[in-house]
Amino acid sequence: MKVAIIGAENSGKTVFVSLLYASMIKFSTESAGNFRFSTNPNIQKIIGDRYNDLRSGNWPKKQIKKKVIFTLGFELRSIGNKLKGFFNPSHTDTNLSLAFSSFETYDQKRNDVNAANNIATPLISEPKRFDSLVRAKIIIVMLDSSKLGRDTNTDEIISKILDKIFRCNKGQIYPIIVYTKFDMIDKKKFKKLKLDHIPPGIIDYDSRKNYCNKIASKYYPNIKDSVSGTDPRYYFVNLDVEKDEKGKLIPKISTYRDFELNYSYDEYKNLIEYLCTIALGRINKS
Amino acid sequence: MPTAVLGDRACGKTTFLALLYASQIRYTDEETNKEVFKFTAEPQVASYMGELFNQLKIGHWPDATMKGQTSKTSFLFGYKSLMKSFAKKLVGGKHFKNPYNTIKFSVYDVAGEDIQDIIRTPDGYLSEEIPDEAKDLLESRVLVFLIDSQKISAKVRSKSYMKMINYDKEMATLISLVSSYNAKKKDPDERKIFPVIVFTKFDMVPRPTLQAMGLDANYPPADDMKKRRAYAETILKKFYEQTLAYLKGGMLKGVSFDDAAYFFSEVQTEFNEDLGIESPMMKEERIDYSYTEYEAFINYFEKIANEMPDEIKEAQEFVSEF
Repeated sequence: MKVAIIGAENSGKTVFVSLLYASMIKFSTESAGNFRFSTNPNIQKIIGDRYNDLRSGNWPKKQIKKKVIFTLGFELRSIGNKLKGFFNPSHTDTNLSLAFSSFETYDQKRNDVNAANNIATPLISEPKRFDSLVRAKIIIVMLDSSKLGRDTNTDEIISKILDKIFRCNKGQIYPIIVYTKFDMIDKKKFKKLKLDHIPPGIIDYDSRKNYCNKIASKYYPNIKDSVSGTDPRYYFVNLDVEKDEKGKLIPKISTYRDFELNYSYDEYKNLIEYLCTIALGRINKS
Repeated sequence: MPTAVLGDRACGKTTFLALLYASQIRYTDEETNKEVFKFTAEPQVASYMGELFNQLKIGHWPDATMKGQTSKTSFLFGYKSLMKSFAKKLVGGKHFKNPYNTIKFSVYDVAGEDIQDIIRTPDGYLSEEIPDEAKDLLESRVLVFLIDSQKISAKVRSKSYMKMINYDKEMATLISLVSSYNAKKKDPDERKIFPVIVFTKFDMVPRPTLQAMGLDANYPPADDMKKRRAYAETILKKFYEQTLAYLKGGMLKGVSFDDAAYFFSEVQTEFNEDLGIESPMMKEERIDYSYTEYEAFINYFEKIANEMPDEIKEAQEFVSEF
């Protein structure tokens, strides 16, 4: 299943994919873990380098521009035998590989996305050029929370891209809105919106949806309109940072907390589960 | 079943080989093991490993750059075949009087050019012209990773920490490479990989680091595999998490990784005033090291050898090669 990640330059796409990878590692090695993932060696090397940059308290030295393919697998004891035979790769009776997801990042500044933004260019007339984007079933929109109210272009450009994807892709599309760098929001703006700067918990879906609708009404009205007919999921992600000797912000490593990056793992874990749920639903339908 | 022993530069490969050599001698000296286990290597390699052992015996660390070292060190473990009947002794049309199932070990330097080449170009496994060294590694069905415990570091941003996480990434790449390569094989049995992790220099792990993970300085004994696995995986989870995740994720490629086996190698040391360094300590005229771990290592391979031997050899073939 194809996943497109769309966001402005520096909206945190590379860090997001690296932390998604970190979360897959953590989720798969948890003691009761019923989740597994795999990649091909080439992708492992690319993403492993970016993740190691973060792990050592640095920002990724290079952006992820290549398509990143993860194979995700969930253990499904109850329906394992029922689904057996649907899938080519792997498994014992109780372990099934569910999702074959390719994550491709699209930067607003990239030529093809700029072209997609041009209303005069019909997306469908250049199928090869926009193949991945048009065929994506899951669209992850990255919104940089630290720039709320300051990047009006993002709302317009991403909404146009979303409109075109919805128009070209006849199947069901699952939009996911990710607010990145959420720890860096301007709290005064949230006060004006009468919103707490801490979003509702991930399990409280309705509250979170209302919360996000209030933010979007104010700052991303076009994106809100674009996804209005769908049932988007919302995530808030952040990575703790600290200042280095030169005053530059760098990823903070909590040595007191198991020598780990301190980031919104629960949000990523829920996202992984959601991706697998989508994959399972699609497979069941087929 | 071809076995690759993989280790980073200065991770303790040479000492591991020397101790393995010492252990096979001690192991076969025991009456119960005498006719059960045999070790052999090409004369040059046997001589090299013997010399490494001799250095340890006089209280010196083995020299990794010693004369006589071959570019790739290979040796065989042989286990007395469990085949009883006359009929079963007929293998491939050949009649064996006293058969031994063998496992071939090949030692690779992860920092070496050949291995780094395949790590640098991880799509290379798809090529039809894979270099011999790389192909041998990809065909290996048992992967023994040596992890230098001295490099386990909780000092984020330090050089040792960077080396540690880089080695983690390289091990994960190698596991991914072997998984991808073996995923092409049709027979599910042929796609089964046995991972083994050996923590070398385990006595050098800072105690506070173990304490921070809630671990005792004494690792659980080899016969309590459940506790031992939990102990070792706690360390991997914290410091070599990519490796652990890829071991678990291999099944998604249709490559079954048997539950990893874990061993701990350590040598007791004392300060050598002449050399001015910590040197191997002797106890009752023997080097004082974790022999029971090496004994467990030898025992671990017996099951694999009996299930899937590389080849079957006659008992006297081991003797003649020495």
